[in-house]
Amino acid sequence: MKHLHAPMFKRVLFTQWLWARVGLLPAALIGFAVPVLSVQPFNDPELGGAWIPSLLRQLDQWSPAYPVLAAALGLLLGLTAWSADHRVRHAYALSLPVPRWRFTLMRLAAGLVLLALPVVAVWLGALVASSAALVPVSLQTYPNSLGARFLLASLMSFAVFFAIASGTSRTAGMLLSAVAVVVVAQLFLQLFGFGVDFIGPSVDAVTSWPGPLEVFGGRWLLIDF
Amino acid sequence: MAAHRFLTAQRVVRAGATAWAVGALLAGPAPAGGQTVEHYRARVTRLLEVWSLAQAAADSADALLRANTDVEMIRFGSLVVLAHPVRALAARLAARGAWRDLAEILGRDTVLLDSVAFYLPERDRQWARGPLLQGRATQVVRTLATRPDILRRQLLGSAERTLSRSVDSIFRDWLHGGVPVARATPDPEELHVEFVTAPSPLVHDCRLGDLTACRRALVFTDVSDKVREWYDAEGRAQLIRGLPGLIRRDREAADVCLERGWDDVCIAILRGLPSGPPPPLAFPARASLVRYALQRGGDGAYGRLFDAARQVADITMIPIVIATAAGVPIDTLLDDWRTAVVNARPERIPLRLSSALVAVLWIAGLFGTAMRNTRWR
Repeated sequence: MKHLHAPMFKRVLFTQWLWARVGLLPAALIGFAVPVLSVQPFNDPELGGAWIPSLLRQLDQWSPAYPVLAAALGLLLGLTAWSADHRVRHAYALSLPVPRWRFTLMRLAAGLVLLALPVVAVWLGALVASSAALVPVSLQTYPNSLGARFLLASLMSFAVFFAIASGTSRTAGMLLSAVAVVVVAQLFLQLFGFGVDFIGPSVDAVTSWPGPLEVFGGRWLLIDF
Repeated sequence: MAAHRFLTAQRVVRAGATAWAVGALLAGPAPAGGQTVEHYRARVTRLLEVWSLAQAAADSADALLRANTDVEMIRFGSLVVLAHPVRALAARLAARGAWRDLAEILGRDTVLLDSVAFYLPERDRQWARGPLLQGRATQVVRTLATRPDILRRQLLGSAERTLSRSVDSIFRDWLHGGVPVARATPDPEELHVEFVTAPSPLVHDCRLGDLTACRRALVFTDVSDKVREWYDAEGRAQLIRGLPGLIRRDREAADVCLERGWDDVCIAILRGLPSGPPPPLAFPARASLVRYALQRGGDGAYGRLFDAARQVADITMIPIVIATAAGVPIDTLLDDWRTAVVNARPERIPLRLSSALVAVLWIAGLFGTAMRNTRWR
């Protein structure tokens, strides 16, 4: 049974690549381009200290691109890992001569390998942009930190969507129903004058430390103080 | 605490003086024949004296009325707080906290508070003038707060305002309100950012070590043309870009200034501001410099500052006041302060280790959930 693992993993990786490449290649290109384009204002030869606020503001305009790209990558890889199996109701996967957890692990590992492509692209783009930009003395570049944050955000997004997609439709339905119940309950209570707020604290709990989505927030600046 | 009765003997003396003065005036000799200028001058002088005595008597009468309201006197060192009994407990806690802060900030200069008492009236009698205490002026702290921490902040603010009233208005205006006793001064890192991002070339040169530029940026001298002397063309455009209200008010002119780069238009826009262009380094930097000088001056620095700041003839005396407080020459102080600000460069680490660790734990947990899914067990 052990000799099946490597060739099997290669096949799983190849099939997931086929399913995801349509979105993965453009994402990698975008990931490389965003840092390079964001530092273009820094290459103004008339750069002076008085321009720093506007430079940082222009750089900050590109900030949302990183977490959005990370979320999209996770969604793409997480869903495409299981979409084919969902269509045939996992009959093929369940009939394979490997333990089921090992098969899931292969799917997971394949997704992680594919995720490396756009993450490395972002990191390389940040390195190129850092070396090419005319950075004022009072500012520093953070290509490694930016790359690491993008990696964590992508992994988090992939983990969330992989976990959801690996479950049954019933599980996903229950999750969505729970969210819908909370939203509707709050609306009703507020309609009847009860000033309760479930959604705000819940969103805060999820998006601030130590929530899972905290890594998507913060300053996504390649160049900063 | 027993209620205080005020100045009974003094009231009697004043009332007696009033009666004597009126009598003396009425009994004054009538001029024989024509009435001379000197005669009228003397009568006017006596009338003024009578008026002063009557005013003092009226104040005493008011004090007597005010004294009928019970107040509790709370004293911590030089800090005296008079509070209505209903608020006495909260006032005591607030006064204790305020005294601790003031003692830490002012050191032995807390004696500056010996001439004032702070009065907390009843919540629904905010208009009350407050009782008089011998040897102290009453400063009413009008607040509806009941929490001791808020009252503490109100007391500190009132103490700061009271002390600041003793300094010359020129110095007070330069500091935008008063000597920073209780107000929080800006974080050194935030000040560093202000130094780095200020649009004025004076601030840029100051940061690089030009002390003359520092003096000009802090407005230690009068300037005839602020728009041209504080900012260059790029700085003016940057300043206008940072004032969206100004751009909205006159979009056409702003476009000509910013898009076409016509500096004359930028100058005209800035000259049209009612209070003129903002100074290169405003309150945060000035308060930081003064607070740095006071810390450098050690014990007694506040006293020296308030003494020196009582009479400031013009703006050129401000550096002398600050240097007196610090006990060092102004150029030495400026250089050290500038160095401290430059060295306070913020450490901006986009990704904290704690965030990374938590993210890894969440990722592992989610992957574990996927592995443990019922379908696969």
